[in-house]
Amino acid sequence: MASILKVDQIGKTSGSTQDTMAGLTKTWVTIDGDASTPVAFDSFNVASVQDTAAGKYGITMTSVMANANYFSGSHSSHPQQSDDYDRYLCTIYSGGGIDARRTTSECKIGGSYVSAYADTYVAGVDVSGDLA
Amino acid sequence: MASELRVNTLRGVDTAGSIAVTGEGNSTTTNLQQGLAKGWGHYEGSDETLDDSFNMSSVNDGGSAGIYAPQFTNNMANSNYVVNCNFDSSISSSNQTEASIDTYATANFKITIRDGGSTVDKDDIVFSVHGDLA
Repeated sequence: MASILKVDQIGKTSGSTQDTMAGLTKTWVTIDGDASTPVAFDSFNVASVQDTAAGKYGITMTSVMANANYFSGSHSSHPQQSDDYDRYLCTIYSGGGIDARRTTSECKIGGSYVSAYADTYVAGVDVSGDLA
Repeated sequence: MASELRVNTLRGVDTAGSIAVTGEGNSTTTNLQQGLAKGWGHYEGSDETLDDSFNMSSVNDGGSAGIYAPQFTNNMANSNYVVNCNFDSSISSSNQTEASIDTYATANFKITIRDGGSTVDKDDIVFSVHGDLA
């Protein structure tokens, strides 16, 4: 039988405690970034993935965040397609200006190459913060 | 009344690996298991030391400078997991440095760090993993 447990703390029998909810990642997704219609290879709390322009992606969350001040970490592939580069993590290419236009329901990332937004092969994102 | 629960293992009733928890806004729920990082590590590439980690049994030397293979203690269910990785670039030139994940496997993944196109050892390599455990 299903049950609901309501508690204020979950802790080990010794040592410090932390806020379990605050520590949980609220969203994560791996995106096939160069597909004509980007799709999620795998995800959690993601309703859809949008390709808003070359190199720009929007991740619409199923359960939205309480505010737009959440943390998002992302990576993207290198634009070169080869065995050595096909899942290149370019943290310096991700995020950027479009990240400022995120909303409580949509996290935005962008990948650029040589000063221009460019589609990437694989992008990954995880989000931490407060759920609405 | 405030309460404190002390247990060693949490397990769902209907599905052992799925427990819903109420979000900060007290309206929606999220999934405890899906929200947990399944692994993380802090690794020094120069002396091959895993300073601290979770669910990582070791980091294997990839055979060349700048290539590392963190090994999971408990494997992932598939190769579609998310890895976020960063490191101390500490570059002495204008070369661009990047980290790539060249192989995603259920038991491990491979980090390659390049400086100006050449693989090089770096320190303070940090990574986290999200996805499904096997």
